[in-house]
Amino acid sequence: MYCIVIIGGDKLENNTQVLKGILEGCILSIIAKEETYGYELLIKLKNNGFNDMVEGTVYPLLLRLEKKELIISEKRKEQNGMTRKYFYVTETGKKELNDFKIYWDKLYVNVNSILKE
Amino acid sequence: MRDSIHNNKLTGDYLIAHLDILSYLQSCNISATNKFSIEVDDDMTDMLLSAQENETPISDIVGNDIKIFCEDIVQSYYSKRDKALDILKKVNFDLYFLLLIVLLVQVFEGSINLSIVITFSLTWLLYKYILNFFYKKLNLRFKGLKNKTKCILLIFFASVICLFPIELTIIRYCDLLLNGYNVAIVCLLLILVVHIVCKKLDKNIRWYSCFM
Repeated sequence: MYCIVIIGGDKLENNTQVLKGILEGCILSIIAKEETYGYELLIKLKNNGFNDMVEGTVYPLLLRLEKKELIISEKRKEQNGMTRKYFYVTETGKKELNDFKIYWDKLYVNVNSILKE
Repeated sequence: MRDSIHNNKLTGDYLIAHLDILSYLQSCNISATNKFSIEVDDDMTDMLLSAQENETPISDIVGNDIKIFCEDIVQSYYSKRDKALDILKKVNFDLYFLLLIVLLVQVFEGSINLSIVITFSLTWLLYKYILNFFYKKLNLRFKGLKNKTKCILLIFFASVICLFPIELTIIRYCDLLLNGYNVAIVCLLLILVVHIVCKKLDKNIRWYSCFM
C-alpha cells in the first residue's frame, strides 16, 4: 500500500514530507511512460505546474526510489560527450505506481468532499 | 573525495559546491570510497558540469540551502535502521581494535593499566566522533579546500586542548593495573552483545561485517 508520510500525527506540520510522497508517485508515473533523465524529468514536472522545482529536489527522490528498487538507472554517453543517467521503472515500481494511483484517487475524492461541505 | 575534484573541469562556485556536498557526506560518516558516495560524486559532477556549461545558477541545482540538499541525500541513503546498524558496526569495530591493543599490551607488558584503556578509548572517540560532530556543524561555513583544511585543524587543536586536562586527570587518578586477558574477555562479551543486536536488525550480518 502506498503511504504518504505526515510527520506529527494528525497535524499537518510539515508540507515537505507530504509533497515528497506525492512527488515520488509523480516521478514514477513520468518514468513509467518513457525512460528519462534527471533534467528532462525536472522540465516535465515544471511543465505540469511544479514551478518551484530544482534538480536538488528531484535528485534525492530519485536516489530514494532507486534504493527502494522501484527504478533502476543506466548511464549513457551523449553525442556532446556528457554522461546522462537514464531511469526505468522496475516491476515493483509499476506495482507501487498502481497503489499510488488508487491511494491518490481515494485521497482526492475524500479531500474534495470535505472541502466542498 | 577521489580524483574528481582535481580532474573534472569544475571551477569557481561549482567546484566549491561540489566539495561542500562531498565533505558533508563524509562528515555524516559516509566514506568517500563507499559505493553510494562514489555514485553521488559522479552524479554531482555531471549535474554541476552541465550547469556550469549552461551557466545555470547553483541555486537551480541544489536549491537555496545546500545543507537541506545534503541532508535529503543522506536521508535517502540512511533509513533509521541503517543508521542504527551502522553505529553498532562501528562500535564493534572499535571494540575489536581495543581488544587487539589490550592483548598486545598484555603479551608484551604482562598487565595493562586502566588509565591506558580509558585514555586510548577517549582519544579514539575524539578522532572518530568528536571531530566529525563539529566538522559536520562547521564544514559548510568554510568554503574551499584550503578553508576546510583550516577548519579541520582548528577543530582538532580545540578538541585536543579540551581533552588534554581530562586525560591528564585520568592518568593521575586511574592508576590501576588490570589483567589484560580479563579486559579482553569483557571486550569479547560486549562484541557478542552488539553482534546479537545487529543480527536482530539484519539477519545477513556476519561477525566480520564491521571490517567491510
